[in-house]
Amino acid sequence: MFETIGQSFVFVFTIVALSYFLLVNSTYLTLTGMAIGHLRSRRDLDAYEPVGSFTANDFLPGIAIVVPAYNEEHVIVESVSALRSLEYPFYEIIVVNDGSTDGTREALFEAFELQSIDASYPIDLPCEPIDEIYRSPASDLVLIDKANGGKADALNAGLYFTEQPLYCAIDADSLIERGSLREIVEPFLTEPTKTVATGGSVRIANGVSFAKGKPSTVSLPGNHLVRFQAVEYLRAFFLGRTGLSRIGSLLIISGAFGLFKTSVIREIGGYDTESITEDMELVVRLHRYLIEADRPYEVTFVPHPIVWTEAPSSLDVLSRQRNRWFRGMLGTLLKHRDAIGRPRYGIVGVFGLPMFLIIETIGRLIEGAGYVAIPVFFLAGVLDPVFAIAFLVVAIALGAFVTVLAVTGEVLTYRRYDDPRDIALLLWYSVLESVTYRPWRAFVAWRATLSYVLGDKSWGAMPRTGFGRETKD
Amino acid sequence: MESTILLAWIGAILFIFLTALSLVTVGLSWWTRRQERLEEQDRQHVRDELFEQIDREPQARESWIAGLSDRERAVLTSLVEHYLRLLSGQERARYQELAAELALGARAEADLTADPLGDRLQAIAMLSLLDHPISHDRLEETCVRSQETREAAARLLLERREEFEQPAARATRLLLWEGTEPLSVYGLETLSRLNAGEESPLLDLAAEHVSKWNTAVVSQVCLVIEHTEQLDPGASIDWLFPLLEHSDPELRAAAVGAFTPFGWREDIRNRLDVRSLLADPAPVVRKATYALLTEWGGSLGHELLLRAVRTEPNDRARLAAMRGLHSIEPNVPVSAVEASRSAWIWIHAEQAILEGDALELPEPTGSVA
Amino acid sequence: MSEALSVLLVDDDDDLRELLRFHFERKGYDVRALADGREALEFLRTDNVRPDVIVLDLLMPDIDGREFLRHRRETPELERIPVIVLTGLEDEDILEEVFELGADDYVTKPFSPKALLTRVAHVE
Repeated sequence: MFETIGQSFVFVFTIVALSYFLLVNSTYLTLTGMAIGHLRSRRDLDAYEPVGSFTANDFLPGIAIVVPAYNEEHVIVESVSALRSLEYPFYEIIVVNDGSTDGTREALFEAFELQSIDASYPIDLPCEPIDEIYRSPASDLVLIDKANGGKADALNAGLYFTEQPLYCAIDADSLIERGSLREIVEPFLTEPTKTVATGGSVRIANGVSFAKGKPSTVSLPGNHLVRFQAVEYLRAFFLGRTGLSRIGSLLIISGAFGLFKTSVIREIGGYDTESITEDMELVVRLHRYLIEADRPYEVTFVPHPIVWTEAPSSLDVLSRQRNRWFRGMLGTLLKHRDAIGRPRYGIVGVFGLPMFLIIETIGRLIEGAGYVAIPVFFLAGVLDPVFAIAFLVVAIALGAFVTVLAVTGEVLTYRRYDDPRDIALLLWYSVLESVTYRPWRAFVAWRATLSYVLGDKSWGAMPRTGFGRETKD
Repeated sequence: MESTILLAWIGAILFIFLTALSLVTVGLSWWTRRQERLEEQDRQHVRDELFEQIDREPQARESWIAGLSDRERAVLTSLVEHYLRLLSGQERARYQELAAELALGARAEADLTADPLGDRLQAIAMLSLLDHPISHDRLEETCVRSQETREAAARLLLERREEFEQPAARATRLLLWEGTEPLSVYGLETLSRLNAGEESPLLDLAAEHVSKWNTAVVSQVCLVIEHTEQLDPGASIDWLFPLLEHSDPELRAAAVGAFTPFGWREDIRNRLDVRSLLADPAPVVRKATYALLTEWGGSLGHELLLRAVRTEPNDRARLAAMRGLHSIEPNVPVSAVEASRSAWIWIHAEQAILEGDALELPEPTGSVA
Repeated sequence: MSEALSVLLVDDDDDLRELLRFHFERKGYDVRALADGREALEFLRTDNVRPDVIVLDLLMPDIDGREFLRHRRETPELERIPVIVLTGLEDEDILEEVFELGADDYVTKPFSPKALLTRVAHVE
């Protein structure tokens, strides 16, 4: 009797786990394939440049680049300097110093002629109290010095302060290419009345040297963890998001580089300071608000690689980052649970949100259980060989296949990794990913869920050196 | 047992697929990089040859052109296009001559009916840069089916306006079409350039059709009018007035902005009921009115802005009013502005810093606001 | 009739640099073509040769045109060298700013190389 129950359990569990692997990998396979097809067919359209001088166009919208900074003394000057030579005629830079306790302010004062505006801003900004606002007479640079309130709070300070119609949210250590602003604003130029938000494609900066505002040599660093992340970014943050954007289900715009219509974000009340993944929460709330108001809108992903960030190179830091991302996702899904599955919310309600719930969240957890349980069952001899092979096929092989396809997608499109040797390495890591990195991520997901359930809403136990970048090695 | 074997087969096939795909990917990466490098080299020497050849007679160039490989031709085409976008005057004419010898115009004309949208747009753009004869009828035949192609065709008419009859009117019509599809920011710029100068067919077109147009489109038209210099002084803008009472506050605000270039017309100044606009319930409309008053200047502007800084309830609108007042009359004492005291202080503090250097923040035109 | 001038050309557009280099050299000028403000400043600092004219783009990486003009204004020997700004920017505020920063002439793209050569020959 016990045996039959035990056997039934193994059987049911295995079926469920395998179905999930099949579901998750097929979904990503579809999104990836769709994305590649879409990008290839759009190549000529993307290369088209309307006749007329871009920089002389008076109708280009002004952009405020909001840079939230917390203890960024080592990178902030370089970052802001790079931001000053972007190929776009109308923009300003607003650095929001979120109560840094290191030399961030001093570094900025030394590098740029910042002078204090001896007055308080006549408009109430919905954020932690502002100490002082500075500006540089020689350039469009503003520094808002305020009490610590977190990244969301700092972003709110910037977006409520600016008078520009668009604002750009970036991380202090995001490396933006010279042409990036022009790239990310493009949907706002072709569809000015409907576009409300655009997200940029994030690439890994480790092993990339920058010169004159462009990546000059892009190569894979030696670190294994970074290599895994490189393939992961290609699959999830490049092609995955391209696919999702294509079907109107882009729910995350990376905090590393996103462009938004200021007025609409103010309408929805800015960023949620309670959320630890304020970038995702904002976009989901944005979708809901506009759908509920019956306003036609576009949230678009710009697939062209334009922003580079340093990926964690130690397991420690990476797991904290992923832990936070997962808890943040849980938090966002929980907050907006009443929209999940509801046709009222169009494709976002019927596909986008359920996809995050079923595939990214529950799917990750079940995958995690499967990665552990199935081999255990097999070793214990209670697993039907059919299922063992099925596991290898749908979990390992199919997973590897999706990631390999993502690398192919890279070669067929932007080719930032243009050395065939790097491509070969990426392919190898794509296969390895299925048996090492992905199971590990699923394990992190379980830990994150546990901490979430136990009420952990923090950004990470270790001292922060910057927003969500966790301590660097 | 059978299912096991079946699955094993599936696994094997998948594995083979995987390996094959990987090999293809690496091969593709290698091959593409090689192509890129060859093209780079080609570009260098084709460019050098181009400079040598550009001043020669067409007959002298014939053999050079005929001797170009496909890749070299492609590179040359790209270079010619780049220079056509960059140059004007006699030099440009020489490049147009060369383009004719390369049959770029003929190819572009053929591509007007190509399938992919990108190819059609590229073709229209190329024709805009060349002097290859193209009739308005042909444009109407091939370029009117989508907003993007209409915009590109309108640009062509702008760039080559001397060759067409009524280019401004025709191009404006192409851009607005049925007034149901909003223009891109590129289209807005084209529309503005077309209507700057002696004739402004946009105003006449609007007078006739504005009631059929989408609110988004009407707002865009108002924005263009606001930012276009030297509009036709005799054109009628009667149709703008009813827009000031439209139910959509964004449209009302855009309509207010559209009056900006008409401040010199006394009949307009008298007819516009500024005071009722200042009492509009929507802050965005009031803000637009402050901007208008600032542009128009004069004693009326001064008086009304002064009143506004004292009475405007909305923070942002009040700051806008204060900025406007300050730019008309920098010497208003803080005691006069009452409720806008903090705005006055802020503006003066900001100015104190900026005085040291002449830089000012660029004015956004709010084309996506 | 035309003296052999030495021209410093600063523009990040490869093709444009080469085109202008060709035109200037054909007229007998001595040309140095660089890709951004930083390279230009370094060139001007290290070498003793002073160009007779500088043709300057505005939108460039690293140190851009306006930044270059600011540096030039602070250096008397550089201030003596006339600068012709060649740019795609047409904004009237930028025009004002550029002249206030000490530029001697302002040419917008699209431009005529022949007209530019005339301006270079007659500037200052």
